[in-house]
Formats: sequence, C-alpha cells, structure tokens
Amino acid sequence: MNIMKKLTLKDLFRNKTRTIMTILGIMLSAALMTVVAGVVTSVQATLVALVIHDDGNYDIKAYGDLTDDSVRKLEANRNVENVSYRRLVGYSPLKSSNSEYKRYMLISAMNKSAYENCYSFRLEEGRFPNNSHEIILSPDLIEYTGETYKVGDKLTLSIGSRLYKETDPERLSEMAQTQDGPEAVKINGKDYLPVNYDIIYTGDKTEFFSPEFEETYTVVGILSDVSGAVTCMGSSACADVYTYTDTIDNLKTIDLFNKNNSYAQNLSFVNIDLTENAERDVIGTAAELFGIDKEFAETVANGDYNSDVVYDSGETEMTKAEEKIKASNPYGANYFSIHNELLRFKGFSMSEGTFKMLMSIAVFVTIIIIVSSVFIIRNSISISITEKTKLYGMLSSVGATPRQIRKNVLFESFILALVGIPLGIAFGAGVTAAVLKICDNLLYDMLEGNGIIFSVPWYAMAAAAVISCLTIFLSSIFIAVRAGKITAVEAIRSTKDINIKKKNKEKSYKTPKIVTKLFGTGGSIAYKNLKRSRKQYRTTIISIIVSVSVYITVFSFVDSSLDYSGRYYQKLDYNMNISTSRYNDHDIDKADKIDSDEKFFKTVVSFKETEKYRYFLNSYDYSFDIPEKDIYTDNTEGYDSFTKFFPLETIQNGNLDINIIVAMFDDDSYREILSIIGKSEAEMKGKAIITNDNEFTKINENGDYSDIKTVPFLRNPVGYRLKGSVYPTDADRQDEEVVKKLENEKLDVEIGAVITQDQIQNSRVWTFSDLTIILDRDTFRKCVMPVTVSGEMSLYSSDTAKTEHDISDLGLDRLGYSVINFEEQTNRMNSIVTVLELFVYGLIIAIALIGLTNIFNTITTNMNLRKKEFAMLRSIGMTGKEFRRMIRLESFFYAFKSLIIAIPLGLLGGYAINLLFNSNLTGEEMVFNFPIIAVLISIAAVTLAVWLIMTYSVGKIRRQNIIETIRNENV
Amino acid sequence: MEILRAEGLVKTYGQGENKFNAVDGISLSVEKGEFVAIVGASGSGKSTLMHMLGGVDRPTQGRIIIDGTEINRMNSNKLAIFRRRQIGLVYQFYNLIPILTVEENITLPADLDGKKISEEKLDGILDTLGIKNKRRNLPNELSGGQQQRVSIARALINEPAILLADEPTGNLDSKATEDIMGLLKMTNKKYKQTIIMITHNLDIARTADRILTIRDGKIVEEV
Repeated sequence: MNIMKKLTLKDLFRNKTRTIMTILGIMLSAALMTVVAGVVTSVQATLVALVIHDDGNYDIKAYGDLTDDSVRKLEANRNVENVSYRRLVGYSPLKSSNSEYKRYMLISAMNKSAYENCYSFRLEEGRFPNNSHEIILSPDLIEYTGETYKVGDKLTLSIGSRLYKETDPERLSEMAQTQDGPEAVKINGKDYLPVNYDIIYTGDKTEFFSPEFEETYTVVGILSDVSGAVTCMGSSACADVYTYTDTIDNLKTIDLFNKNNSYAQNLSFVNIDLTENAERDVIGTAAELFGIDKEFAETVANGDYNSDVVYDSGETEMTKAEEKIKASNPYGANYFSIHNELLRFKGFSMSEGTFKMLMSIAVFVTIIIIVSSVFIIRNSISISITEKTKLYGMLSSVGATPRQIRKNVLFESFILALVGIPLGIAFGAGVTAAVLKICDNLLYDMLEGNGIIFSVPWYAMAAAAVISCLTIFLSSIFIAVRAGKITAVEAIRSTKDINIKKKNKEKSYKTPKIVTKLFGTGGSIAYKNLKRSRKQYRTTIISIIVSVSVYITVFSFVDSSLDYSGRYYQKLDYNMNISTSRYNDHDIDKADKIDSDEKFFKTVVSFKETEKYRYFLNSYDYSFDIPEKDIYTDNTEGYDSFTKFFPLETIQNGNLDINIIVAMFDDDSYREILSIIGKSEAEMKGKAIITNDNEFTKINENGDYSDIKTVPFLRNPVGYRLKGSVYPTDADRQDEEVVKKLENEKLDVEIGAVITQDQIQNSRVWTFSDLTIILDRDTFRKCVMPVTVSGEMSLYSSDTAKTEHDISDLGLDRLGYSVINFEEQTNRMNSIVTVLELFVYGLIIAIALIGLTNIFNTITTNMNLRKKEFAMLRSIGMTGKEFRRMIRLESFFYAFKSLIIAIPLGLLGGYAINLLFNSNLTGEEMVFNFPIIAVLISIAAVTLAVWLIMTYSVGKIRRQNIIETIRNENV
Repeated sequence: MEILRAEGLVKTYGQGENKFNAVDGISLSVEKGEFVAIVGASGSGKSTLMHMLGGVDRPTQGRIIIDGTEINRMNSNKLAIFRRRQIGLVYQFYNLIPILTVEENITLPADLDGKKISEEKLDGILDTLGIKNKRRNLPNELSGGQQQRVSIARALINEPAILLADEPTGNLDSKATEDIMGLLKMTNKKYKQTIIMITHNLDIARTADRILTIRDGKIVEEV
C-alpha cells in the first residue's frame, strides 16, 4: 500500500477516540435514516396486512345480480388481477346452543380466488373446502353450540331463511340479534324466538325459520380465528360456515332478492382486486368498469348521499344511484364500493385528512433527519481532517503534491464511510426490529393476533447509504481541496487555520468593560474568543443549535398533539357506562321509574368489582317560560344569538320558552356540588341549584363563531321561582287524559344557589351541556314526572366482563337499559399513545445523541488545537484556578450564544408545525403550548454538556506538563 | 545585588535504564542588571535550565532563589502568580495569544493581576519597541520580528525581576535579529533589566555581559 495511505490508516488507529467519534457520528445518521424509513414502511405494511385480514384483499366490491359470465368478463379485464366472490347459501338452525344469542349457522360459499387471494383465513385444523359439499367451521360455532364438531363429520343441514312476519314474510337482517332471556314463545303450536325489537319498527316481535332445502356436508376444516371476513360477530344470531363453489349460477341458495331487504345482498358480493397499475387510480378504473363517469364514481365511492331527500316516488338518492349503476354496467351489478381503507394504507388514496397529516409529519421528520445527518457527517469529517492540518502541511513540505493530499483526504473519508455506513444501517435495522417488537407486545390485543410486520425495504437502506455517501463525499471534496492548499509553514505555524473574524476593526476591538468587571481577565479572554471566533467553533454552535431547535420543535409538537388527542382520548376514570331509557310509550303511571332506576344503579354500585361510580337521573322534557326582563342581556347588542338556545327571535310575547334539564345526582356527587357552592344540605333542601351560564355569539359569513361572550342567564337567579311543564307530544294528544295529566303536573321550584359549568367540570360530577337545575333526591322524586326520567351511570369495574354478566343476571330488562363497555377502547388508545410517544421520544433522543457526539468532537478538537495557547497562558502566570474559570466562562458563553439562537428557532419551528397541522385539520384547533419544559431542559442540558466536555478535554491537557507542551510544539 | 541564585540544580527524565539528567548539577548566580547568555549545542540542557529558572518546570533537586524568594518550594498557584509579576518569558515562537490584539497581549500579565497599566506606560513601551502603529493588530497580521517585539513588550510590562529569553531570534532574519538584540541590549542598559538569554549562536551571545556554556547538563565555561 502506498505510504500516504498507510499514514492515514495509522493516524486513524492512533487517534482512536477521534476516529470512533467520527464513525459514531456517521453511524448514527445512517441508522436514524434507516430507522425512520424502516418504521414507516413497517407500520404501513402492518396496517395493510391488518386491513386485508379484517376485510380481504380487494379494491372494489360489487353488489348485485352478478353471474358466472360477469365474473369471466371481469377477470378478462386488463385492469383486474383477480375476482373473488361470496354467496349466501342460507341459514340452518342449530340443534343446540349454549349461548343465548346463537341460533343459526350462516352458510356461505366462496370461490377459489376468495380462499387463495382475498381472505387470509387461518385454519386450526384440516384444510379448505374443494367442492360445494365440503365445509369449514368458524370458531364461534364450536364455542357457542356446545357441540363438538370434528374434521370428517358428516352433517345434514336444513337450510332456509329467517323471517319475521308470519302474515307477510320478510327476511330478517343477518345482523338481527336474538334477545337473551326467556325461551321460545309458543304461538299456535309453533316455537317463536323473541327478537330484539330495535330491528323491527312495527308489529310482531317474533321470528321464525322457513326451511327451503336440505344439504349434506362434510366438515374438512375448522378456522382458528374470526377475521373480518366472517360476518357474524359474537353477539349476532349466527355462526359462520363456509363452503366452496366455482359457480354462481348453479349454486343452490335461498332466494336472496326480495323487496325491502338489501341486507341479504351484503353477504353476496364480488371482490375485485385490481392490478398494481390500476390501483393508482381506483376511481377511474371503477368508472371504466361500470361504465359511468368519474365524478359519479367519486360520489359513490364517498357514499355522499343526502339521506334526507326522499322523492315522491319513494326513492332516495341512494336508490337512484343504484339504478344508474345497474343501467350502465355489463356485469349486472347494482352497486359498488371502494376499499378505501386498504388503498389509503397502501398509499394510493390520500383523500383522508388525517392520513395526509400523518404523511406530512413523516415527510417533515425525514427532512429534519436528512438535514441533521448531512450536518453531522459534514462536521465529523471536517473535524477529523482539520486536526491533521499540520500533518498535511508536513506532507506538503516533504514534497507531496496537492493532488496527492486531496486523494489522501478522500481516502480517509472513504475508510470512515466504509465502516460507518454499513454499521449504521445494520444498527438502524436492528433498532427498528427492537422497537417494532416492543410495539408488537404493547399492541398485541389491538392487533388480534396479527404480528407487526418488520419491513426495511432495500430502497430505504440504499437511500440512507447513498445520502450518507454523498454527504461524506461532498464535504470531503471541499476539505480536500483546502487541505491541498495548505503550505508547510502555515501548517506548522497553524496561524492560517485561525480565521479570526474581523469585519470591523473598531467593533470587534471593544470588549465591554462589564465583561472584565464581572468575569475577570479569564472571562474577557473567553469573551474575546467567542466574538472573534474561529470557524471551528461555528460547527459546535451550529450543532447545538440544530439539536436544540429540533428538540424543542418536536417536543412542542408532541405536547400539542397529545393535548389535542387527549381531548378525545382522555385517560378514563370509568370504563363502563349504563343508561336507562325514558319510556317511549306514554304509560304515564310508571310511578316507580325513579325508584327502580336508582335501585338498579345502587345495585351495580354494590358489586364487588365496582370501584368508582357516579350517576344521575334527569328529565329533558321540562320547558319553562321566562320573561325577557329576567334574562341577562346587558352589553349584548350586535350579537346574533345565544349559543345554547334559540336566537333572540324566539322570545315571543316577552317570554323565552326554554328547555332546562332537571337533574338529581348520586349522594356523593350531590354532596360535592354542595361543597363547591358552600352550602349545606339543610340550606338547599327543596331548592334548586342552577348552572346559570349563557353565551351570546356573533356568527360570521362562514357560519363560524367570530365572538363568544359569556354572561349569566338569569339576572337574579337566587330566589327566582321557576315554573315548568312537560309539553304533550303528538302521540300524547291522542289521549285527553294524558294531556290533562301532563298539563296539570307542573314543576315549581325556587332557585337556592348558582353553580358554573367550570366548577362542575373540574369535579367528578357529570356536566350537562345545557342549562340545568339540580335538585336533591326528595324534591326530584316529588316534583318530576317519572315517565320523563332517564338515567346514566359511569363506573370503573375491575372486571368489566363479570360486571356485564352480573348486570344481565339482574333481569331488569324492562328498564330498557343499555350497557357500554369501553375498557377495550381505553386500553387501545393508551397503547397507541404509548407507541407514539415511544417513537417520538426515541427520535428526540437520537437527535440529541447525534448532536452530543458532534459537540464532543468539535470541542475536544478545538481544545486540542489550543494546547499551545493554554500552555502559554499558564507560563505567563495564569493560575490553575483562573484557567478553570476561563474555561467555565467560555463554555457558558458558548452555551448562551447557541441557545439564544436555538430556542427562538425551536419555538418558531414548533409554531410552524402547529400552523401546518391546523391548516389540514377541520374542527377544533390544536393549541400551541409554549414548550417551557423543553426550553428549560435544553438550557440545562446544553450548559451542562458543553461545560462537562470542555472541562474533560481541558483536564486532559492540563495534566500535561506546560513545558512538554511548549517544547513539543516548538519543533 | 544578587537577583537570582541557583544551587545544585538537577533535572532527571525517564525511568530506570532510560534515566538521564538533562541538567546535572548546575549552580549559578546572577546580579541585578546583568545580561547573561547561556550557550550550548542542542540537547545540552540549556532549555531545561531556563525553564527551571523561569519557574515553569520544577527541578528534581536543588534550589532556585529569585529576588529573595525560593521558588522551587512554591505551589503551582503561588508560582503562577510569582511568574506573572517577577518573570518575563520570551520563546522562540508562538508567544502570543492569537485572538488578542497586540495591546491586549502586552497587558495580559497585568490583567491577570487585576492591575491596570497606565496609558503612558503602555505608550512608552509600544514606542520603545517600535510597534505603536500595530497596537490594534492581531498577531497573524504581524511579521515574525514584530511578533517577537510584542513578546518582549509583554515580558517587560510588569518590570519583572528577570527576563528569560529562549532563542528569541531563532526564527528571525538577520535584520530582525539585529533589531531584537538591539532592543534587548537597550532595555538592559536603560532599565537595568536583568536578562538571561539562551542561544546556540555565539555571535549573538557576545552581546551579553557574561556567557555560560553548557554541555551535557553542566556548566563548563564562563566568560
């Protein structure tokens, strides 16, 4: 190897610390780029897989009367990759079931493509069906029937339809659930299973099975999970069974098409998977396939129908669309939908605002990474070479040509790149894998058994490598040229190296007296150093600026977005909700409603698993006539309306007719309210507490609020007497008795105190968005019509499944309650937030690390170069103490100078992102929180880092003998 | 009056087999106002001797007394303070702090002491050394000779007991050498400044009052 190369390598080995630091810098940059790319692609791949698992791998779903011929035509289309279809065969009642819900098997047939291309079914045992007499069973079937099915079993099933009206049979929605509780009812000798009356709008509540044909099947497989392709969820009446078919026309099924039942069609559809090219413009392809224009296709894709419009003919916009589609396409389809979710995640459909926002973040982050990386690498190389100025000077004096020196510089960079880049990429891939594994564990439940896909595509790694190489090469070129130009003497003297900035002799000459006064001579030298700073210090300062401003920007962004999402996804104190409903029929003698609702709630409170709770009972039906003069309207001229109520125009005959909620709370909540307003139970007995908050608004042309003014509602609330009544509905007016009763039962209360929304919001008590009067229990029970009352309860249960079970065991169905268990949502959301935080903070730490490496490098190099200077100062007579002081001050000045620029820059960046976000979001704005914490952390971290590093490197130098240093340099 | 006395100075370097005495038992005495030159070949130990005399290095054995103060026993701090008040150092090159102007370089020892140099005095010394018009320049804007002048000015600003100069003209051309030597001679005569100078050049050495020759760490001749 040639001598120059040998020299370079030797030098690299000898200065291990410097070499390692430089390689580390390169590594970190390459790693960071790899990680960002890797994470993004992995997440995307995972999401795509999730969607495919949930819903199948297809782009367009076509509904309607498609035939084998249609399928052939579609398959032949150049834009179509494959065509999968599913057909509903029919229902078959279960012989036995140990679940209150499950009564039927739902048998569907799918073609080969569905099994192979579209759905990612997983088999517990056995294989997929090959003909229309083989079936596979869903796990639901096993779980809920209590029967044991084995692979190889032969089943003869009676297949037919579920109907719900005996006199005019109509099909039941596949989603119809059976109500748990009582057994079948016998009517005219036939067994009828009660059906959830929500599905039925009028008439009978009973259902019956109508058999149509028989079929014998062999069980060939059992599915291991319930993917989204399976349509029968846990609580529906059916469990899925799948068979195979290679024909639509010749498949024996129940009669699918029947008026008023588009639901059956939902289970018979054709999934079209487009070629990759066609996926780029799915709507265009769909338009082409179905023979319609692109705008119409877009409307269909977005489902943008005005559902309020019903034409005289009885049609809606949707049915009109269906007609149009049917008329235009050659396949017999009468509707289609686009698999938006899949396309969005694949990146082909950017219509979603949120997704666009996420992409802009990713792009923004990537740019930051690239810019930082470029910087860091450039600095690393620059430092490494600057230190060797003397060496190059020597080489030049010995006779090396500038060209040889240039080559040498490039060679050094090449070696560093050769080691740093692959290591960095490998490290980055490793970090990506680790991070994804952690996410996998955190999000396990949410992913329903699908693992997170690890994908670091070759082009990401290549990009990282190329960018790094390019950066290294470019920095080296400039430095190489500079190195070649160094003459021997300059190098040895090292004077040229010091480019003292002196724009204006007068300006930079003056050192403020205060500096010397405060900091002494050492300080004034430190200060002068800063002012007349060398080029090398610029890299230190720039490194600090980049690191700090990025940190502050990202921090403020995370803070704002967590705050924003926190509004919707807050940490929940409760994980279950129970609500009782108001009676729909006006059987107004349900006098015990209030008591029975509260008793129900109290029973749930008594469960062992209930840890926290709160509940209320209220009535929304009371209207009050309030004279205009009693309403506070001072200084509200020019305002358009109340926000909560109707415009001022609704004041008729000098009276405002307004709904006020009448409510009572559980004992603990009521007591809390009393303590907030500072009144005792005795004082408020029989009296109402009112949330006396009102708002006047101004509305601009866009319909947005341009000004909101908060005022009280009543002028003199305390002592005011409210009289309210329940207005009879149209149904009520059918019965005079009812009307009379309603008109005579007035609510008459005196207001005893006032409470504000804010006060309530900060407590554990429920907040209502409208005007509310709060009564104590006795007054509520005395004054409020029970039939108008409904209630709601929030609780935290340590075992939500058990609580749900216990509640249903109470058998209180007549209360018409519903239970919502949102434990899963909470956990899900918290996991997502945790994952997000992990990524973002990881990013911040990475950037900080890179910055630190750089700072370490530049400062230690600078210190080294100033060895002679330090020795000189010591020899003239600077004491150790004064010397340390000088260094301390210098670090302080550097930190200060960098932070002065970095912090405003970071704040600006954070604000810019905030603006960027808000321009893409609709609805509530994301607030920009001044990231005071980030700023403080930066100040502390930078000052500490700089000081430590300086002290460390100076310490090393100080230990050297002054004389040795001077002696060595005076060569 | 005796301003400097060295007794039995020894400086040992290395360990075990590599042990050797750079300075091997040197004693000398210098009177106030004397101009002493120390000559010797490279490696003779003259720089080592000077460094010890200047309090920049500690002798392995022996004593050094400057203006009544025994400096070899002082701790680093006291020594540093002593140096800036009582000793002026001039080296062959790299004497100046690159980011300080000429003026600032010169007043540096006084600044470290917290003392202010009067305008008069500063002007005087700038004038004497012929660098008045360069007072606001930075060292990299000066020639080698000018830089050395500045060093000398700095060395003299506190009116130290002794001025130690290690090959002050080694880096300069003949004209500059002449100038510098002239300056040194002048300060010696005019201000009665005690100067100890190291050189390997006999011609230059002859400017001094006394010449000490060093060889292998020992004084061999005195002229």
